This record gives sequence, structure tokens and C-alpha cells, in this order.
Amino acid sequence: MRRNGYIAIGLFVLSLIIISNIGGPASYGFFFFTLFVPLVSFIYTILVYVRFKIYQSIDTRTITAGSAVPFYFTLQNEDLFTHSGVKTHYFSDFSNISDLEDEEYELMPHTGIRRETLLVCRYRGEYEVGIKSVTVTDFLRLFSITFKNRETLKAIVLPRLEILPDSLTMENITDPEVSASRDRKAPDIPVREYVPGDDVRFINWKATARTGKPQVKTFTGERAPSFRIIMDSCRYSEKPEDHLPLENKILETVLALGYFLTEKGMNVSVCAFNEKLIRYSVKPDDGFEDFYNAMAGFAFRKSNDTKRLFDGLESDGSVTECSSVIYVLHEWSDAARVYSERLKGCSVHQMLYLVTDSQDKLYAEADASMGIMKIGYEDRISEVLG
Amino acid sequence: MIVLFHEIIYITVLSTGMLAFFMPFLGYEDAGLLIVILSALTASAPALFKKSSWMGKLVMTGVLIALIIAGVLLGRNESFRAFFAVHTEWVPVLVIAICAFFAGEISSHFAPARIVFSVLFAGGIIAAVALDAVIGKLLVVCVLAYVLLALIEEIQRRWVKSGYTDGKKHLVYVMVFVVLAMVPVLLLPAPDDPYDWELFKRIYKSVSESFSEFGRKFSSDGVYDPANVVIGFTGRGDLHGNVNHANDEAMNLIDMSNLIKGVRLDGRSFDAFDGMSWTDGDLSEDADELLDTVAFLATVNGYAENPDDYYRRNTFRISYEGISTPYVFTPLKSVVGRDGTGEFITYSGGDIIWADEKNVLGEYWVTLYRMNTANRVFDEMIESVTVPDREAFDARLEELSLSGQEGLTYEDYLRHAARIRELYTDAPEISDELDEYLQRIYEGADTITEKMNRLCRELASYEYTDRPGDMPEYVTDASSMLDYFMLESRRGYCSYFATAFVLLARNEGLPARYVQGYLVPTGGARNVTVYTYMAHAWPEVYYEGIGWIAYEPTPGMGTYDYWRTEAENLALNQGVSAGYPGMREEEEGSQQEAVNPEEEEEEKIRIPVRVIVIPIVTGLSFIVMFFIIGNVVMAMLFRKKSIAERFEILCRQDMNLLRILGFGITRGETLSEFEKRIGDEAGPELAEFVEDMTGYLYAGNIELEEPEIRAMKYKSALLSRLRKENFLKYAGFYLGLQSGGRVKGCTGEN
Repeated sequence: MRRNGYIAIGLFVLSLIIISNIGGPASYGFFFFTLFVPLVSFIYTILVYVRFKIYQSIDTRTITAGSAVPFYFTLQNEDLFTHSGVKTHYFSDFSNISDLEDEEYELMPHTGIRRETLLVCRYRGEYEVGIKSVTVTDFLRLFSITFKNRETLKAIVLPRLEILPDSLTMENITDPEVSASRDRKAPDIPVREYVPGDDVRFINWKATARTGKPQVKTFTGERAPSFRIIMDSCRYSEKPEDHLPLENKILETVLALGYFLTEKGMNVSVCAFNEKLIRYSVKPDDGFEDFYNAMAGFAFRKSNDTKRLFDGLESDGSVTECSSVIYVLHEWSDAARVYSERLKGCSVHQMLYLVTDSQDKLYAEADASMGIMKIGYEDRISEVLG
Repeated sequence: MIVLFHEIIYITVLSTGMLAFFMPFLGYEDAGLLIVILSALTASAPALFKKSSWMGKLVMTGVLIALIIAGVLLGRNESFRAFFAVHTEWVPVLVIAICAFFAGEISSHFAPARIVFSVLFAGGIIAAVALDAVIGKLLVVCVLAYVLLALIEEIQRRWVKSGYTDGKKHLVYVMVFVVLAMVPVLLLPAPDDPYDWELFKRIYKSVSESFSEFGRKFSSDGVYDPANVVIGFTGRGDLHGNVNHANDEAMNLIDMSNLIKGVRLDGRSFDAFDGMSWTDGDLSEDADELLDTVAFLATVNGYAENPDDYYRRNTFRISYEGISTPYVFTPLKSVVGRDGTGEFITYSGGDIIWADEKNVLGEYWVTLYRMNTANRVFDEMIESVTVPDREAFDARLEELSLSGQEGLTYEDYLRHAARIRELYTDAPEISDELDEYLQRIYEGADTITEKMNRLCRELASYEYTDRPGDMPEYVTDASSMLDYFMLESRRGYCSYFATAFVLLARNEGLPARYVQGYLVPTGGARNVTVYTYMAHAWPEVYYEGIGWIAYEPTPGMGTYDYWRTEAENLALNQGVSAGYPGMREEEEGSQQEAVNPEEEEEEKIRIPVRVIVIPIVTGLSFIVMFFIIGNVVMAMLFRKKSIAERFEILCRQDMNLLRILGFGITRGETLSEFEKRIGDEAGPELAEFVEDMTGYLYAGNIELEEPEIRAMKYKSALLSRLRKENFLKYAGFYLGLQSGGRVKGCTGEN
């Protein structure tokens, strides 16, 4: 199209040179031709821009992330002249349109083009989907006008509940071997340093020999198996393209873990911070739907940073009641490290799910004895754990 | 239909282009609109015939037969044969139409042919321009239109798009924009001269002048002259570049004498010229106009027995309307006055200016002593008289009630005349070549007035143009300007001619000045509006005793200062009584004219009624006969078909009729949806038809006799409805122009 524009400009300049040197119908005719044809073409483009109609719809405005919903649109020409080039562009940051690229159409007078396809929203949130903008082009491909779709669709997208496969064991969840930071020298049996009063029968001699200090076995099985998931609820960026994927994946991880654990009969509570520490209890016999709805409507805020989260947890104190803590965080902060140290002293098993797309800051910071799992924004949790 | 339109577009462009190309070769200046339309229709007729149904073809054949019979009948008429023997345009038009049809068909169906034709046509135009051949604008427009059409189709062919991408449909539906682009190309002027960018130069000049005026208005010296901007002159006595014509109302002349056919209103005069511009160095505050008028009257009355032969007195009023200027516009040899008290005018360097610039929109009266300068007796008087004596001068002062007024004494007059001789005689140096040229002009002229008259006639034989262009660089003074204008360019507008005359008059020793004002053709009207486009410049020469006399050296400008003397009138009356030859010629001419209408009457072609009736009846008979035969044959063929085939044909026709009526099946609509919609929109009867059709399609070989009968009934009902709603479409259906194409339901498409 740009090439046609350059040719038109070149011809116009040539016509100017010609009429400056040669008179008569041929030179003036050529000049007016190069002047009026693009002018009329431009008027045509404006007319198409003004007159062109677009209708689009989806079956439901409330969509679950990752699931496809039917999407329809109609491009309509209600005029007596053809609309030569109408190109549709779709929102693609957070949603996908199946089987449709940015296509260009011609619309004859009083006709329309209807397309039916599927729309898939990728992240939880409320955002525009479908046709984002339209480009209209004249019949000589000299001019084009791209304009924002005047009637966009807004979808409310709920987080996806990923059902982890039954083949996964509790160890896969709480201490997966896939952790790249796992300390290969750590004892197979959990031990702690001997303190006076401990029964000498429980001394683990193998660990004592390796460390040079007396180590006794820890008895985690003594407590009822209960899990606490600590969820990062801070908004790290104001840009939707940055925060939507992260928040979506945090919620997906929490929901998947929560569902898996409750299905296994575990007691699960989820702690998050939203101006104050909030705890959601997810019990095996309780309905999961309330928890899902709470997560779907959960609001991430910039002020909900991890320091406030862990300060809240420190003051709460109830965390030692559970046998395992699962962190679902975007970054491993100093507050998290301090808190983790304290829990370690209480023999609470800990596992970190770090939701990030970063490649370099991940493993070195966390405690070597803690299980760490990295989950990328576009990763499927079942695949990562499997 | 789309294909037909597509073909007609190409055929029309080609037939028009061919006409425009060939007509000049056949001796016709250009192709008239009627010829163009006839040619396009003739060329399009075969295309229409090709696309018509058998009924349409039948009608067209009938019309052709009627035309042939009419031609045969008319051919027996002598006058008709004579008419066509003279008017042979129809032969080339017919040949061109046939060629255009074939070329249009090729263009419509073959993309490579379009490209080849476009290149050939455009190349032909370029070659014609290179060879300096004469090309008509219509031909150029047709070639450009053809190239544009080919371009649009080629772009469409290469354009990757979804949806409807048919090139023919695309072209037909953007055709209105093609026409919109080509109409201005056809209508706008195409001068033979290259474009001089005058508009942009004018804009530049106008802007620069506005800035200049703005600067002058607010400059520290406070000298601001708005007159130059508003009275219609191009500048401040400038003599370069091109001229602008404003069209604003400037003033009104009221209660003019109907004997005055035109009047010259002096505004501003100049005395010095530097080669590019006139300047006004005369700062005298003498009442020059009054002194000049009084001296003229004194001289004429002292010279002539009958002063009416030399001047006539008229009065009128001048009212300023749209201008604001310090100059009071008055004719030469006039006295101005105003009702009320107080002096309203002052004098400056021979010009009259308003005493109070804020009061310029008033009205003043003028007493004009109109001079008979174009009469030879006036020249004789100029050659004979000298300065009037004191007695005669005072007598005229008395007569004009101006005695005793300050600055109007005889001594003042003498001082005024001496100043003019001093200030207005600065002559430029004349080159040898120009001198030789002037000698040829003046050869045999005995008197100074004869010399001035010859100079005036010589200049008036030059070319007048508003766009003389800029002066060449070598023009730096009055001498080089004269050489350039008199020997080289010999073209310009009034300022050029006036300047040359003034300089050459001075070269002959006469005081002369350059004057800007209005030349107003009144046509004998009593009230005349003066527009700014009447702004003009002319030379004035000062003769002893007579004072300033205006000349008109600008080509095409009228002179209104002539009437016959009493002696001439007397001689003329005697001549008329003896028989004025001009009158005899007029009488003979009227007798000749009386004969011409009869001759014209004889040349009129009388077409007998039978020549109209017989072809029409024959054509109609042919149509009716073959219509009946055709229908009988088709009915027989229809009967021979199986029930299912008959039902299918009827379904197709009914669906087509439904589409014409606006109830056609839409894209993506199922037959059951269609049936429901038809039931809602067009009534239950039609829904039954769709139900029958659906049953046939989906249930297969059902008993069809009853549905067939119903389908025929529906067809009759639909035709009746179509006839009532839109007779044109009804006729189009019968002529095969309202083709519905394939009916989806009946052809298995879904």
C-alpha cells in the first residue's frame, strides 16, 4: 500500500513538472487526474470509515480463563458502493481468537460477512476482547484508516481451576524432586540439633557423623496433617499486561493446590493480605465453591506487599498449628526469609512456589532445605509438578 | 446484470474515446454530446442483446426491424436522402460503435488485454504530446479513465482478501467514484500554455503586500496610503509583475447625462519614473484642477466661434460606496463642489484629496466640461492656441463664480503652468534602435498632435495581457524599460502602455504625466456603479492653453470623447437627403433576409406519418408473433418435461420472483427459517409454497401434481403483485433483466 502511495506522489510531482513546461489537454488532464483520483480515493476512505458497521457478541460475558466460548461478529455494508478493504484486528494480549488471523474483507453493497469462532481468555480479570480495531482501505490502496472499534466487548474472566492428576502424590506437592535448589546433602530423615532432654534413642548417627554435631529425628507425623497456603497478594505493576498474568498464575496455583489437597482429605487454609490478614479455610467436607468465588473476586493491591503479609502472619501466630506451609509468592523477600526461619525452628515443613518469569533470581535466595518450585506465567501447574 | 454493467462501462469509455480520436480526422471539430451518447448506446446495444433473455432479444430485434423499415421508407424521400448525404456522421459513429463493442468485450473479459490497451493508449498520448499533435480533452479523459479502470481491476486482482473479491462487481460498485474523479478532469480548463503558477504568485504577492501595507501603516513616519490597496490598482504606481482584478463596488455616478457614454475619473497622478515604479514628486498645493479648467475654458472661448464644438457642460454627482481613499476622483476639466459649508477638498501635486480623511464616504457634485478630443478640430485648436490672456482668464473665473478666491489668480495660473513644464518633462534617453523605430512611426507627421495620435495608435496595436510576467533583469531605468517594451515584448496591461506613452511624449518635449483612476463605460445610463475592476491607468499630455489632455494607448480600451461639430452635422444632413448609401445597403439586406426563411422552409424534412407508423407496427407485429411462437414452443417443451422437472422450473421462477419482490432467501438462512419469515412478512400462501419446495427437496419423489399446480398459482400471484408494486421490475423480469440466478433450494445448495 505504501508503494502505491509513493507511486501516486511520484506521478503528481511528475504532473507538476509537466504542466510547468507543457500546456494542453494531455498535461493538464494528467495533472488533474493525479490530483483528483487520490482526492476521491481519500474521500472514499473517509466514507467507508464513517459508514462501515460492525457487530460482535459472545455467548456470555463471564468467562473462565482458558476455556473457549463462542464468539460471533458481523461486518456490514449498508451502502450502495462497495467497501473495498476492511481489515479486522483482535485483542491479543489477554485473549485469543481461534482460527482467525487479522483478515481483510471486501463488502459488497447491502451485504455482510458473519464469522463464528471461539474466544479464549488467558487471564483472570475484566478486559476488552474480540475486535480491537479496524483498518479500512480505499480501492486504489492509497489510503488506509485504522480506528478503534467503537463497540468493544468487555469480558469478566474467572481464574481457571486446574485439576492436578491423581497420579501426583503428596510428596510431589510438598517436596518435589524437581526443585533445582534441593540440597543433595540433606538427610533423608528430617533431623534437628540435639538439645538436652532429648531421648538419646532418637539420635540419628548418620546425620551426627556428617555434621559433627548430635542430631535427633524430628517427628512431623506426630501432628495432624494440615496445610497453610500463604498467597502473595501484592500488585507489582500497574500495567495490565504485567500484573494480569502474574496474579492469574498465583490464583491458579493456589486454587489448584487447594483443590488437590482438599480432595486428598487434608485441611487447608489460605492466608492472604488485603489491608488485613485474611484466612480462608478450605476443609475436605466443605464446599470448594465459596473458596473459588472468593479467589475469583480477590483484589490484588500495591499496598499488600509481602512485608505486611508476613508481619500479619507473625502477629497471627496460628501458623504453627499446621504441619506444612506452602508459599505461593512472586519474590522471596527478607520478611519471608525471617518468617521461614522461625517456622523451621518449629519443625513446620515448608514449600515455596515462586511464580515468576524471571530466570536468574530464583533459587539462590531461598533456604536450601526448603522445597522450591518455579512456575512461569504461561506454565501449566500439572505439567510443572508432573 | 453486473457483467452487463461491467461491459457497458468499458464499451462507453472506448466508444467515447474512439469518437474523440477519429472525429477530427473525419473533418469534425469534436464529437458532440448527442453523438457521444448515440455512439455509446449503439455500442452497448449488442452487449445488452447478448445478456437479455429470449424475450429481451425478441424486443430488440423487433426494434431493429422497425428501424430498418423506417430507414428504407425514409430512403425514398429525396430531402431525407439529401439530408443524410450531407450529414454523414452516422457512418463513422456506427463503425466506431461496432469497434468499441468488440474492444469493450475484450477489455471486460481479459485482464492482459486491459493492460496492453492501457499501455498503448497512454503511450499514444505521450507520443502525440511529443510530436506536438493536437489532442482533444475528451480523448485524454477517456484514456485516463480507461487506465484508471484497468488499474482498479488489477489492484483488485492482486489484493488478497476474504469475502467477495469478484473484480467485475468491485469495479461496478466503485464506478461512482471513478466518475467523481474524472468529471473535474473533463470540466476543468486545459490552457495551451504551461501553468505559470499565477495563483500561488498572487497569493504570495497578496500576502507580501499585506505585510508591506501593515508595516507602512505602523511605521514611524506615519505615511500611509490606503488608496492603493482599495481602489483596484495593483500597487503604488508599480510597473512589474501581473495584475489582479478585484470586483468590489467603489462608487456611484448619479444623474449622468445620457449623452455621456463613458467617463475617465482621475485619481492620482505621478511625475517620475525609475524604470519599475512611478513616484509622485509634485508636492504643490496649488488648485491645479481649477486653474487648468479655467484656462481651458478661457482658451476655447477665445478661439472658437462655437465652443460647443470643443466642450460640453454636464453635471453629475459622485458617491463613494465601498472605498476609503484620500483621493477625490474627478474627470479632467471639471469643478467639484459639495452641499454644506466648509472646504472639503485640498490639492496636492495636481491631485484632489479629501480635506478630512474620515469624511470620505460623502457625496459631491461635478461640473464637467467634457472635451471633444477625438475630433480633429480639437487637434487643430491645440496647434493654434497659446496661453490665454488675463482678461479671458478672469472672465471665466467670474463665470464660474470663482473670482477673488485665494490661489486662483492669473499669476497663480502662470506659476502653475511653469511648474508643470519643469516637473513633467523629464525625458529618458532614447536608444538609437528605438529612435529609428519612432522615426518610422512619426514619418510624415507634421504636427505634435499628429505625432501623439500616431504613437497612440502604434501602442494600441500591441498585445494586451494581464500577465506580462516580470521585467527582465536588464530593465533598470526608464530607457531600458522603453527598449524592452517597445522593441521586445510589446505586451502588457494599461500601466505599461501609459508609461511608454508618457515617456515618449516627454521625449517630444511635451509635459506628460502618468494617471491612475477609473475608466467608466456608462453606456448612456443615468446612474452607474463604478467597480474596482474599472481601475485604469492612462497618460495625460499638457498643451499650452489647453492644459491636460488624456490619451488612450491601451489596446481595446474605448474613447468616449467625440462628437460631431455643428459644421459636420450640417454636412452630414445634406448628404443624407441626397441618399445615404448605408441606408440603401440596409434596405437591400432586409430584402435578402426576407428570402432566406422561405429557402429554409423548403429545406425542412417532412416525414410522412406512414414512415413512423409502418415500422412501429411491423416491429410490434414481429415481437408479438415471435412472443406467441416462443411461448407456444416453450409451453410444449415444458409439457414434455417430467413433473419433478416442471416443479423445479416453477420453484426457480417463484424464488426469483420472491427475490425481486424483496423476500429472497438470505445468506445462511435455512429453508425452515425462510418459510417462517416468508409467512410473517409476505403471508401464509407463500409460506405454503416454500413448504412444498422443502418437501420436494427433503422428501424426494413425492406426489407433485398438486404442488405443481400450487406453484403455478403462486407464480401468477407473485407476478400480479410485482406488476402492481413495480412495473419496471415486472417488465424487466419478462425481458430477462431481473435475473435471479440459481435458486439455492432447487439446485441443492444450502
